[in-house]
Amino acid sequence: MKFIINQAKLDASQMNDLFGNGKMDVVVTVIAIIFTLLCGYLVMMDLRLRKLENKDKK
Amino acid sequence: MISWWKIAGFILVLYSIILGILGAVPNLPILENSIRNLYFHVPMWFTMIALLLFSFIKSIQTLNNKNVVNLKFDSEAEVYAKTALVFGIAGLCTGMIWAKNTWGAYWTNDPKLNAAAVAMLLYAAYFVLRSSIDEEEKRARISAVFNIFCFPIYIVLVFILPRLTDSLHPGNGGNPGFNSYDLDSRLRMIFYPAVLGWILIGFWIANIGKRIKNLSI
Repeated sequence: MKFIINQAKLDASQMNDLFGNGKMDVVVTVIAIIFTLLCGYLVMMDLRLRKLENKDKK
Repeated sequence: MISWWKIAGFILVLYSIILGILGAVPNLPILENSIRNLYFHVPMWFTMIALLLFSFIKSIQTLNNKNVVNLKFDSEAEVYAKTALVFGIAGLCTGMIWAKNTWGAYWTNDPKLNAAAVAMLLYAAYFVLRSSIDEEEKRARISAVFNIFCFPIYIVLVFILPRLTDSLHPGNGGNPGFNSYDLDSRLRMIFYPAVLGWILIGFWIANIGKRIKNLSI
């Protein structure tokens, strides 16, 4: 993860104004949080389904 | 425990989001920074195709036995097609935003765009057909036949026809593909993980849909 962040920062420093003022970091953070929440919802569904499937088997 | 491939899908997509937006890209005329959409727009279509391929296979399996229609495979084919359609809509939306910024309009008269819209409507018709038949076995048989015909038509519409005429899309109608621009493979380092990650996420969603259906049966 540290490698990814370092690499991203290194690349961002080479970019134009759009990426230089840190606004893009906020955009990436927000998108990453939304995606993580969506995946969290999938994990929750997955675990609930497993419980129901186990109950069904019994 | 969550399967390794689901975790891998999450990590790969997260990687593609972070480096896809912050990473360096080749400085191309017209495309400029919009080339980053390559990591989001194209994987949506690849995921859709992978899911539709599975739906197609499940429809064949539904009709595999001459005398008995396998309803389990039929419901799986439906789930895969439904998930594929969601990714197709995401692909259209990301493509429209990209088109507005590079071609100047959300929708142009490009053969690939129109073919993709027709292909999506074809699968929408598959769901209309399914909902119009009440008898389970009959619905499974007819919709499986429809789905088996849909997939090759989809491939022809999206991959073959646009290559035969002039098209704005790269790699179509004599245009150079993205691989000719990407001399230092910067795009590939993010593009391939993004494709793989989104495909895994697509199958994860389909897997959940399938299990919900199995429980309700």
